[in-house]
Amino acid sequence: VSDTDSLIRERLATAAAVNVVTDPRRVRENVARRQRRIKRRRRATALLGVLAVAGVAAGVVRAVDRDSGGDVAVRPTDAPREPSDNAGPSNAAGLAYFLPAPGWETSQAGLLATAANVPLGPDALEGNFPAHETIRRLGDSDILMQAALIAPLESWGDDARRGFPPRSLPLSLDEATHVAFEGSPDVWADRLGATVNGWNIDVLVFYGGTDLTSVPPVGPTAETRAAAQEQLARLVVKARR
Amino acid sequence: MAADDEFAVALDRMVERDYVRLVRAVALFSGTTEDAEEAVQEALARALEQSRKGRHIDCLEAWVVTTAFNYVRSRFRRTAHGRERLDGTDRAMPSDPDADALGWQLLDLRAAVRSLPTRQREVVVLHYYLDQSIRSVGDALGIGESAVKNALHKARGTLLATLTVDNTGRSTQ
Repeated sequence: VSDTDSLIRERLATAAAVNVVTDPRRVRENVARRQRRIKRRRRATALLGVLAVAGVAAGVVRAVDRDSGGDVAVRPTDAPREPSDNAGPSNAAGLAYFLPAPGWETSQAGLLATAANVPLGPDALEGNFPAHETIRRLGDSDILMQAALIAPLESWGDDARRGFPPRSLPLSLDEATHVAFEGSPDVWADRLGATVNGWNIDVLVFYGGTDLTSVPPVGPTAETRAAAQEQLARLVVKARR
Repeated sequence: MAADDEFAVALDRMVERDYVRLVRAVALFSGTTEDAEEAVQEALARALEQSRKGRHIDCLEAWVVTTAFNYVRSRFRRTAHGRERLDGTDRAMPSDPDADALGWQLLDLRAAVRSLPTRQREVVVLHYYLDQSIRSVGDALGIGESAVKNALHKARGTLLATLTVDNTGRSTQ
């Protein structure tokens, strides 16, 4: 092995002998220039890092702000109030919301208002419509109610109000139709379309303890429906500008 | 600050005495003198920066060459042609101007070194060309001594095969 190593060393030394023009002064200048570039690069990287951290921090602050009442407001409350165009949560950014009532939890996310007499699940808080995860947790006498605002477009023309007849607040469940929803097909749901304050409103009410698949179907009790009606009467819709 | 100056002097001495050897070592790895010069200068600048930040470099020569290897590798990866040069697939040099001076066998030896897998190539250059000990090579590359020996064993076979081929019938045209 040592002879082989010596042979390789010797031949490699000869094979590597490429012509290199050396000018130490030029080499030192090049090295100094590269060193300055490294420093500049490091400063730029540090600056980018600071900007990235600041951006992430701003995003987190915005997300926390949103989750704590910017776009989504959750409020279990004890004191009933009367509906009014000016009433509602002080930080409400939503155009539609349910006034709080004892035993009801409400939230608003964008154009969606939600209320339930059970704790709202993450899907409801995130603005899912319908909020199937919360619906699956509904027990006897439990109710989930969601009202989604839809802005009619001019291009819809005469169809703009199809299924959304003009109504006035408070809305009445007597005018609703019962439906089954994909995702929660066995749960009894009331659906009510209305045009209020310039908005098309799609209201869905899901009742726990119901079973559309049984014969005959099991619907909500009169008491449960009355409770739903009381909560629907607390829906506030701001006028569309 | 004094240590910083001391290091700068050591580096200066290295430029005076060892620059050509370092460039040739990296050229064995990269294939061209221009790339090797650029890589060695970059490595020297990085060594100065390391010293400025108070970091100690045990074996300066091995550190500079290994850093230059890494620089060449990262630069070559950016282009398809660079990747060919990196893995040695462009090693055919039928009209190499050095052929007359060096002879085909030594040109083939250069090509053979460049055709080695990267790890073997690094080990060969550091150990056989720069005379670094097995331990220094392992330290510089961040691998164990047995891994160095293993890579050397494999590379030795490839290089020996090149050195024992009869090239007397080849021409430079």
